[in-house]
Amino acid sequence: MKYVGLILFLFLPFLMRGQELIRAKVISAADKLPLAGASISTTGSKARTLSKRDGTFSLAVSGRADTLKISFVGYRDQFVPVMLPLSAPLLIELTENNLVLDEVKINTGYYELPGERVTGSFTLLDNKSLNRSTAPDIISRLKGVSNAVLFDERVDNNRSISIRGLSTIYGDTQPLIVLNNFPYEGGISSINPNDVESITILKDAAAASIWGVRAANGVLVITTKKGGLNSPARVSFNSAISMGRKPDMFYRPAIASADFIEVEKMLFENDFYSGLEGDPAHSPLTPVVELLIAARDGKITAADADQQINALKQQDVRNDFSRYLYRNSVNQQYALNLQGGSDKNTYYYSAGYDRNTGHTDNSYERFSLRADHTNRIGTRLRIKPALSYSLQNSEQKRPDFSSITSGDNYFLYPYARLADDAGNPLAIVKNYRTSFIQQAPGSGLLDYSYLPLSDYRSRENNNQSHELLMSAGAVYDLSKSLSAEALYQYNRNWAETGEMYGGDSFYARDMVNRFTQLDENGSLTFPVPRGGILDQSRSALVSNTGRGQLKYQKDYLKHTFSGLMGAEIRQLRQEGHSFRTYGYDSSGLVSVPVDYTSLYTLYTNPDDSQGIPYQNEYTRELNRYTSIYANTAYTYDQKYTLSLSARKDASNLFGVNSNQKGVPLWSAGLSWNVHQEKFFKSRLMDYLKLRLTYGYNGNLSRSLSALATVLQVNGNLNNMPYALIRTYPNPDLSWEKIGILNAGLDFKSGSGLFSGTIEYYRKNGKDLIGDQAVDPTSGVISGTIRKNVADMVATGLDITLNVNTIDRAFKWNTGLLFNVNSSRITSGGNNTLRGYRYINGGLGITPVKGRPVQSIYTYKWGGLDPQTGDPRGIEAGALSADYGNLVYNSGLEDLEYHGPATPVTFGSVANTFSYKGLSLFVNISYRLGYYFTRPSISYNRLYNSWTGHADFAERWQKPGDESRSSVPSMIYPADETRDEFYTNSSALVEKGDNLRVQDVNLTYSFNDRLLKAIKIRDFSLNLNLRNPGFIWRSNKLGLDPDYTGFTPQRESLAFGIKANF
Amino acid sequence: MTIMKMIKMILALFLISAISSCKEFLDVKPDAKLAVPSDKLLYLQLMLEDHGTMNMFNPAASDLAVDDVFIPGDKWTALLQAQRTSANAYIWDKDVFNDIDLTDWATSYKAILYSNLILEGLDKLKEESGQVLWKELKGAALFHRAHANFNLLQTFSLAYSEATADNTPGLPLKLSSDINEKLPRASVRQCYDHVLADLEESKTLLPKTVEFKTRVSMTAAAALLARVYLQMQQYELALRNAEEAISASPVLIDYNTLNADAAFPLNRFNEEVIFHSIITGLSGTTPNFGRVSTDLYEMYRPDDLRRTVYYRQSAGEVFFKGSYNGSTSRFSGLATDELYLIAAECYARSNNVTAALNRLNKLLVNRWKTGTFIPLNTPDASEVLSLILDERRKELAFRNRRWSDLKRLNLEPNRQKTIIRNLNGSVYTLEPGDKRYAMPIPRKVIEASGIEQN
Repeated sequence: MKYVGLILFLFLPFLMRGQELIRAKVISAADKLPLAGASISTTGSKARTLSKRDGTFSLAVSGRADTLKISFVGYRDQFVPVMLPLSAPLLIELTENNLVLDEVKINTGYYELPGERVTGSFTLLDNKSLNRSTAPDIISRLKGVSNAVLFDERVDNNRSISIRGLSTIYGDTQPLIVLNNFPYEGGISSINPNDVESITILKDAAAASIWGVRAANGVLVITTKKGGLNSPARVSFNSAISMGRKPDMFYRPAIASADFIEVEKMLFENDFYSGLEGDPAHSPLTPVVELLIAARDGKITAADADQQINALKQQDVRNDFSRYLYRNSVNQQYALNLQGGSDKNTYYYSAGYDRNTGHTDNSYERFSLRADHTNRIGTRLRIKPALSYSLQNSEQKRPDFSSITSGDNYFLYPYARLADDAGNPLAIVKNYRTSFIQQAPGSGLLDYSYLPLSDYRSRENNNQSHELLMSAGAVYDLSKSLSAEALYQYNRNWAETGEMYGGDSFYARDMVNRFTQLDENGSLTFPVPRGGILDQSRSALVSNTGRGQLKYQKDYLKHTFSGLMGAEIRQLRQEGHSFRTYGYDSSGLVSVPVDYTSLYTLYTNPDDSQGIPYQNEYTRELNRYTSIYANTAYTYDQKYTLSLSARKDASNLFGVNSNQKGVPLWSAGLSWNVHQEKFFKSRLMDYLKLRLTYGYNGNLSRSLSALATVLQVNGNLNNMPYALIRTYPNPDLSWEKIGILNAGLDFKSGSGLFSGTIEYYRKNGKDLIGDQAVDPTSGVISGTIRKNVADMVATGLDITLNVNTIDRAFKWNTGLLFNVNSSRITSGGNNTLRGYRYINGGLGITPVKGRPVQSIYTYKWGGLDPQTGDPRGIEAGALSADYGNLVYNSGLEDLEYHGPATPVTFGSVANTFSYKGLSLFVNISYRLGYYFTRPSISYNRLYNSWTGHADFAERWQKPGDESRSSVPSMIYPADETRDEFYTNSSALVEKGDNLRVQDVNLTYSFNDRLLKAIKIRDFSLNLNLRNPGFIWRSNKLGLDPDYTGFTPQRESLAFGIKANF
Repeated sequence: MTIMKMIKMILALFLISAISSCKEFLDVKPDAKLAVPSDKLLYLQLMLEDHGTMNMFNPAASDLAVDDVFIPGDKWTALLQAQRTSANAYIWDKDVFNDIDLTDWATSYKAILYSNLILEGLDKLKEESGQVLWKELKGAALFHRAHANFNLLQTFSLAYSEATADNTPGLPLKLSSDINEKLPRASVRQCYDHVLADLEESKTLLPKTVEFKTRVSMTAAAALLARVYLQMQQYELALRNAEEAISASPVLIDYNTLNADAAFPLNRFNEEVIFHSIITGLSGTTPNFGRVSTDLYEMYRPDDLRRTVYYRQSAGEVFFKGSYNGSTSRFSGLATDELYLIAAECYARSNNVTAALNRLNKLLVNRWKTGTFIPLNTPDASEVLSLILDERRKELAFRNRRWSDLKRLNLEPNRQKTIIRNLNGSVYTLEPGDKRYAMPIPRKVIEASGIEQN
């Protein structure tokens, strides 16, 4: 490096011979401040230079006339024609460029880096794109606006996100979330999204390897707002109110009440209920069955029974749910902040309040405060203290659709009535036969009826959580180019949950009744005391992180060198305690002790004896990490950048020898700013950059161990503590490693018409934790053990394209996101298990070599038997109805493979139209190339657990039906294996492909003149329609392929205002 | 803050993490509930307290293959859907154990893994071998390994006979916790010898009494030895151990004191129980499917209290309710009544009729309605033996002994029995000495280990 400079120095005098000198100063058009480091070149000669700290430069050129090209990151290039010699120094004003690509300042959580010098793969989401949605949590706001991020919301209340697809089979799948330089362990909902300035997504090894073993799934770096130096105090306020439409109860294809009743009659005639009638456990029977029994026993007339049954046929409980339990949801959001700064200090203060009322009146409240400072002390030291606190309260109110059932093993019968015609709550059949329930009070038990519409009033369920985050950083400039940094963060989360079952609640009454003891003299005792039952839990998480690092940054002629090295130490402590109190009375604060050690014969089932549930549990976890890391980048002439990064992590993984606790990971990258080359004189392209990186990220599976470990648990048969084997001896265990190759191209046209990024990546997952078959003789019951057995490869494309089709007073901008991700297991997949092990609707994982991690497999479908309506499979090439064989003896080769369970291609097209202050944003997202299995009728479950499906109406009933339907005929007795075959057959697989409108946003910003008069800087109104619906979906049944639950989310409409003072 | 302070601080941080990364900082446990078992005797003891492994899941399929059980045709059809293992065990079909993970094979080998881990842990803690606890733990681990191996032999190997023991395939003899170890099947003799060796050693280490009946005492080791020797037809040694155990635990429950109307008249951990364990709850062993064969039920005389204490009748069918576990789960542990029967049988086989009848009558007087029992008395040893074997079947019904008894008695030409099942129009027969007295090893095991199938 030294020599390059020396050579240049030697040549300089030759270059300067016979030349004229241009003197000029580069300033920013907005604030007139000098711009240091702007790059100046000429079109006529080879001369080029950089502006100095005060913005000035001088450049020698030959000839009489020339054109200067001045470029600076974040500003539009400026072309200045000059006639020589100049009479006075030039003043060149650069205007800011608002295209994301240019103003990129990448924050990895360890350091910031200008976009120009980046080699790795980053996606930056600025404030604007994050604010299009008013969702109360920041992660939800990424949906549809961020490249490479896929939301998987198929399972209710279990959202998971992935960056560039899954990189692991059984390891942790969630990306690492970094909040202001530190890994964030708290609940994502504690962060007020209005405080977030930007999110940077780190996708490849060069970007993420600085995060070491936790980076394999990608990293989301959240940066909160800060005040700016030399900016006047500014107050911003914004508020949004959004309404979500209540879920469609009729989305769920339920069996019609009339059909269900016909089935019950058929079962009754077949004596299906005779066993249950005399059941010592008093198993529940539906009202229709009770009527049929009463008519049979002559307690009511047949005509009476018929009349009552016919009335029930008209009843559909979904109407009751819709009418009495569900409402539109309302979310309110208010945020206020104050920011500004002098020449030495900056400040940012904010307060936020959110109040949400859910579809069943569940309430959620968040109150958040944040303070963030930067103070310069003397000339060399800067300190950055920050403090934030949030309080969240949530409360459950009315029960939802899935929580009202007729018993642990029963669904709710479709003609249940929750209220009478006047709207008064009615009892439903619950847990026991109605006759048993009715005679309970007479036998000295508590009332045993369950009224879903009023029962919740006797229950209270609330959850309160707090989060406190304190951080302090100090940066000391040791010299112009070397600085030392120390950072520390303290994070404490504590939460309390209380679930109070009041003495009148069904739960508490049931507990008292079940344990009621009847002695020989006929007197009753109550081991579970009458009164309420209170479940409480408390938990706390405390993390401490310290980091020390040295940063070096030096520009020398055409060389830019930056480096960083540091060490980090981190501890995470989690403690929890949950306990139950019986006989609790909140008015007098009294409780009653119970005998946990005795077994009691249940009043409700003399064949069963149980102890009173003991729910006292303590947990304590302590995770520790140490890391050392280094990162360097060298740029030559603003054209070529080489980056290197390495990190070694160690943690207190349990049962592993110390030398296996640490793992070194590294990455290397190259980038080439082609547009800086002299030969590149394209008028079309203004910016063109090539990037190439390779490296490793790791993944951690803290649940595994190389040694046999045991877990101590409560209460064996003698009520003594005991220990269970948690991990089997597994001496060869190591960490998962993901090697990532990334090649990228960034471009922008000269006129700013279009810009974008194209990236290709290939991820090689090595030593992934997978299941390997092990001889059960080893004592491993399941016959499989988790080991580093699997490898996988994922390849993909991430494309971002931004087109400013019209850029005048009327503006039309199109943003396109296009992602492809396809993965396959390359080794370690277990292809010899029996077929049913691979069939899981794409929700579970059984890795198969050559297939994606989550795949849809089914039994091959041979159509319905034209004579009987029996479903048929295919066995050795021939049609078969031997379900036992089809289900239990099929191998992988006998199954049909449909494809991946998650989208291979996905992205969005966002169009923004704006005219003056009015702007309309329409975002359409697409997800393609995947499959799902839809639910259908299972006769066994219909008979035994009252779970029906609308497909029942489509069932085969007579020869010929097989040509219009694939729903098997109803048979009695039900054949569970036949159901199992049908519900997992290819007849029920649908393509998931769909196109939906994600967001429609209408914003109006009032014009400046008007506002200045009333001292408001900006004022805008915003209308946001989220998730209004599908434009197209591949399945013709109206199913939402991205949601497997009962009631998918529907559209919500938000109205927001925003003002800056 | 001065420059030097700053640099010192950073260096200190570097040092802390560099040093501590391999030292104490990372040596703390991530979860206070976790432990490496070989670190402390306490952890080994806690493993023994895991009743779910050590006192449960004894082999159950053989309980469905015996002549005491009856499953009606429609129930059997339903059972075939519910649990293939159960239904197929009932008709001695080759396809058993392939639809469930909790196979008789795996659950017993899990107890063996625990035992081996405990024995290896004790080896690592040798410096504490002088302690009473160390010895007791070793005794218990050896007992459990022997118990599991003996149970496995009953299900998966043919009967022990002196003449064929060397050539009959036994089990893979698992003596280490290495999960990757590949073992062939040892001979039946090698296996029984190992069971005996483990038990004889454990008897010298175990305490005389234990606080809980899930724990192992010296009496339990003697009782199990009596059971094993009886199975090996070594009557002298069986007798010696049975008498030894009886002298330590002589009490029999007078069934007249029980409430025969109760759902489960006998309690878990009752006075006769020496060591508690139960079998796997296969669907076929629950009252939903399994009934009692008329063949067995009709053996009980009207004044025999076991008729009402053990069984309930409902709609003409007979159900078992006499589990020494006080629930529908069936007891398979060691109890005093079995010892009386072992002793009686051994006396009879050595022609000591008086002693044999003495032991038998002592038991039966506690089983009959007060004042109705007339002590048995006959001079013919063979007849006495027949009486004892009948009483053995009646007393130990659904106690996991019948399958073993059928196996060993079938070795005696005059005591052989052919079991015939008429089911849904088909007839299934199990002849004495049928190869199916050794049940098929689960397919998963054969695939993973390559050992010889039965």
